[in-house]
Amino acid sequence: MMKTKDKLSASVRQAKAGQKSETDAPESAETAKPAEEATTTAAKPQSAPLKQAAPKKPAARKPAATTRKASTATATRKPTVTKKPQSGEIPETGSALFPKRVWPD
Amino acid sequence: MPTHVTAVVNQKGGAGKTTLAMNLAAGLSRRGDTVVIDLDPQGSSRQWATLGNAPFPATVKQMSGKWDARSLQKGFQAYRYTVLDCPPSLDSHASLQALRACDIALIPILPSPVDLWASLRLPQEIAEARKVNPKLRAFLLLNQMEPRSALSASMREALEEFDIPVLVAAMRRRAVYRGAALDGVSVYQLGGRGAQAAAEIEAVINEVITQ
Repeated sequence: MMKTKDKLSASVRQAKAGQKSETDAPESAETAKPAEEATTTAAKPQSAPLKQAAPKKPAARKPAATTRKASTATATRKPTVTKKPQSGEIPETGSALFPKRVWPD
Repeated sequence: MPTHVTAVVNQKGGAGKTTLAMNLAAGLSRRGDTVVIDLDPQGSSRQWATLGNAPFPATVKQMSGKWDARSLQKGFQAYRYTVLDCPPSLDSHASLQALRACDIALIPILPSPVDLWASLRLPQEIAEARKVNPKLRAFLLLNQMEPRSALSASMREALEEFDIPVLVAAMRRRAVYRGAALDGVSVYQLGGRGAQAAAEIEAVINEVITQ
């Protein structure tokens, strides 16, 4: 059985080593980075579909905004043009069923 | 003559910083005018000094906001000794400046593994402070020692892992230290009841401050 004295000294050495490795971590970034990159690259494929879907939103919105501006200039096109971006936006936000259920009422 | 500055520091709360600072100041006040600067927002030193019926032997002032070593020396040059009671954090402005301003840093440490682990950053901070304040001398002071406890007996050896010398003088776990705080006095003012504790504080002063 370890004596209290040895236990205490060992615990301090262990804590000290833990602290050292924490402070040394940025210095040995070369060894740490590949592991981090590996984890991030491994994580990317999972999140990739989401990321691909996200850029579509602004792309779809921008033309909608311009068509709205254009529609304000021409009064006759207003109803048709404004409805289109609404129907275009809603599916992208993931609530495609929502307007179908609500709007008929 | 510039004021001699002793900072009582430790990032760990409950290590006995205020107890040491106040009793140390009381001991030093027997040698010359002494001021305790309470840098801890908790204001325990100030509270301690206001409790007593008799005036505390050292002046106690609270200091907050931004200050540096030069302003401290200038502001308290009328006192022979200045004792800084630091907050339980090494990241605070007060603690960093205290280490840069002081002649001696006293670090009370309890005979407990948790306290040892929590104090492991101290040598690094002392080394950092020495870059700005080369005259800085730092010492660990064992506090609340229990002679019959195996942990207390193991402390000196365990502290060899630190790169800071440990004082031969130590403070025992004594109810009279807490009693003095409650009465708003120092152990020196408690007569025979505080004699042993006062002797411990005297030993600290003689070992590091007056030599």
